[in-house]
Amino acid sequence: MVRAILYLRLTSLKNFLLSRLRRLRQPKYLTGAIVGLAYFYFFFFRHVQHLGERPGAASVSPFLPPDAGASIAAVGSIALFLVFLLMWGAPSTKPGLNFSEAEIAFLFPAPLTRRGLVHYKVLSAQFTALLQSLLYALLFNSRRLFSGDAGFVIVAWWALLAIVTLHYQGSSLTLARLVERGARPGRRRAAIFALLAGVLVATGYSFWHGLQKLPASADLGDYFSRWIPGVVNEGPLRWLFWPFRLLVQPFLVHDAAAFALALAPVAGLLVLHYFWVVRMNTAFEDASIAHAQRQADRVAELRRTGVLRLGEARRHARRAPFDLARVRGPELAFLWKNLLSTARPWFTLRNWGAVALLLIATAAGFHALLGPAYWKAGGVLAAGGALAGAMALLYGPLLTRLDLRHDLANADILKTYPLPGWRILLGELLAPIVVLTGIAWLGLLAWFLGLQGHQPPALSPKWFGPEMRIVFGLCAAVVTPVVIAMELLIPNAVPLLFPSWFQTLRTPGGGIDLMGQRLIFGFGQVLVVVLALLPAAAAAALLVFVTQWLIGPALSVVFATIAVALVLLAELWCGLWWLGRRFEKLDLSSEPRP
Amino acid sequence: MCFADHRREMIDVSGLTKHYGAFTAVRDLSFAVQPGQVLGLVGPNGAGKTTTLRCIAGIIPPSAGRIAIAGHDLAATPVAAKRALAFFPDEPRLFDYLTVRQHLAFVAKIYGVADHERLAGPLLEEFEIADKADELPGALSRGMKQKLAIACGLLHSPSVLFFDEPLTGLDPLGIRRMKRSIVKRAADGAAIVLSSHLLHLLEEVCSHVLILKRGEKLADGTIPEITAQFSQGEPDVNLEEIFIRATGGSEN
Repeated sequence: MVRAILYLRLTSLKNFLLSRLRRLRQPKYLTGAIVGLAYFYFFFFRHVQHLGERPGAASVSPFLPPDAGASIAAVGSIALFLVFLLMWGAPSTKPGLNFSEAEIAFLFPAPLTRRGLVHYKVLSAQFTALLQSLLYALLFNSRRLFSGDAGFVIVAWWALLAIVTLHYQGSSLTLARLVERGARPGRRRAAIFALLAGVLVATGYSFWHGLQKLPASADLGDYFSRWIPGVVNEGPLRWLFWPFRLLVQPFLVHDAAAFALALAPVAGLLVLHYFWVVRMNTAFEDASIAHAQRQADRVAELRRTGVLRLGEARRHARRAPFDLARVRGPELAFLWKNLLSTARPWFTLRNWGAVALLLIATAAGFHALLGPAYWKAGGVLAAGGALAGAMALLYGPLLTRLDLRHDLANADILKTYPLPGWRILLGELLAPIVVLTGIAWLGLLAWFLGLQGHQPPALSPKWFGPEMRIVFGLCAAVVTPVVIAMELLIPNAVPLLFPSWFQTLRTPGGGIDLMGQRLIFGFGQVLVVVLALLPAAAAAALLVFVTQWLIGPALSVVFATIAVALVLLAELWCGLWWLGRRFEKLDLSSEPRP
Repeated sequence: MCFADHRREMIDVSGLTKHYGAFTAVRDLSFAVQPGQVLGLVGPNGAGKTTTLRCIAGIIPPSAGRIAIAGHDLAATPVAAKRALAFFPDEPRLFDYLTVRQHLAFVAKIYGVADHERLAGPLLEEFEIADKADELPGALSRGMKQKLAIACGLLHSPSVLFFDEPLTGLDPLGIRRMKRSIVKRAADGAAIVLSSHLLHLLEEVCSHVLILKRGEKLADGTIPEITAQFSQGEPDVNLEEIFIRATGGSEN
């Protein structure tokens, strides 16, 4: 069995590396690899100067203070506690060991006992944990990895990941047995929630209690950094966090004797976990098959749509966002379809209206409650609104996939529609434009309501007085959908202009070459968006500068907004027309698999 | 554990039941297959064919019932029972980073086939994938992947074979070869169970048919026996007509 696993893992790893090296013969992968390596060098290897030297015992990271070790250990312990809690609380009604479809096809009918299968999974997981430990050591402990501490760091990570994996397997099998015996997932989750609530109440009380004793002149940050280790190491919760402190301890020591001492209890935990997992004789096969099927569906969906679905596939039809029969234009049919495909069901006109009313009611409530001190709450509302609007404007188009890219797997069907390419492209862009504009408008509303009746001293009354805020708000509202449309047009051009690169970018899995390609495209996208917005911004700045002396700031801003909108609309129209033509000529032959 | 009373039967299923929560996929199913026999498992979608195959191949545990493969109780001595069988799923599921040849080497290690290289060559030739021996699955067509999965299953010379929709994804030539391969293995003494919606395949290949509906056995026997049971005395009634009459023409 061990020989078979070793053969499978080592041969697969060798073939994986060879296939990755072979594909570097294609310029796009080679370019990606060069950029990816440069990125890694810049972030992880640049600081490595003294290979083999031990960093000082007190140092944790060059970016952190020397005494940060205690806080990091405490935060690590808390994070591990939450991870372990999640293992017991999150699993579905059918927990089981996770096998791939190939493993199920080859190993389940093979002459192996159930315990043999569990052994296979346990040993395979250790192989994966070893590879992950190298990666995590590089990401989180790169300085120590290239020093005399390299062995400590890798072993510490491996032991931690091995225990986490074994605990996940053990908890899955135990939960599967509980389900077998009729235990209800709801009760289990309630118990986990009660434990978490208890811990939160205890820590909250400890924080408040310590805060009461604090002198008025004390530094709150300093108190917080001392309080966190206190929660984990002292008081009633220290017993709860004790095993997690043990797991973190090997990361904090720097000499061989101390490391051996820190590792001994971890090794004990590892052995206990091993026996726990292999001694469980629970039927996991049904759940494993269902899980493998779900995973395969997710990967297929990722390949098809470029979107990784985290939860279960939707099984129930959703209420339509609007009555399709009452609108004209085929573009709106695309909008209707894509709004129905959104991951969240709350992108409807009614919900937008409800949020807007809630914001107005909240602002009015605070006004009535606080009177002249309204700005204290209003400032938070304005800042939150500005942040939400800015995020929707800047990051929204980078994050969304609810456009042509999502539908590209159906390009053969789209091309049969009796529509010119630009109308299809416009239709595909409408849903993210509507959703992101909605968020940005709500952000604007919150900003406007938050600043009502208050003039922040940092803002010029001439340009940001109450009347000007209305002008700015309305002008921003007008120009927002056009800017978002322009931002969305650029990434949607990628599959039409570079179809082969685009297919590679949505390939599941990683690789330094793919990471490099994504970096190139991310940077290129931002650059092109900036270049596309530049003419409009320049025209607006010039208009405001020239006309404000003659017609005042309000009208100059209105004229500038009209100019921005016109320039962007012209660019958009040209882009849509050109990319529409590209879509009509798009060759749908797929990229060969790596 | 050996079943002394059923020594001739390579597959002996008795009272097989499988529940998924409150849903019963297979209910109290019993049948037997002797060496040289090919049993066709037919039924509408959701009849429990794949669940039955998975249970008797030892992939999922049954909720109740007894299964013996080549005289070995699948629950009591799973390793001995599984050593005698091979299961071929409807979709070939392969390891992404093992070549065709390495798949066979891996299977040989799992089943303890000592001289696998001597056996692998003729198998790859038989399924016409010898020229792809050093390719990864990503470079194979759907049909070639199917052939590789079958070659892997046959490497340890199983005496009991389970096929779930064996013709899916094969071209006409591949279909003909697959049918010949099934018939040849049965003639060599293997006991075979195959599930398929292709009733003409069953007519050509199977000696026996078992009709399932909603997890329950409707009929079981040789094709002439089943025909006689549902033809109501009419001559020249084909298996498709028999199937429709037996199942009532709908899933429910």
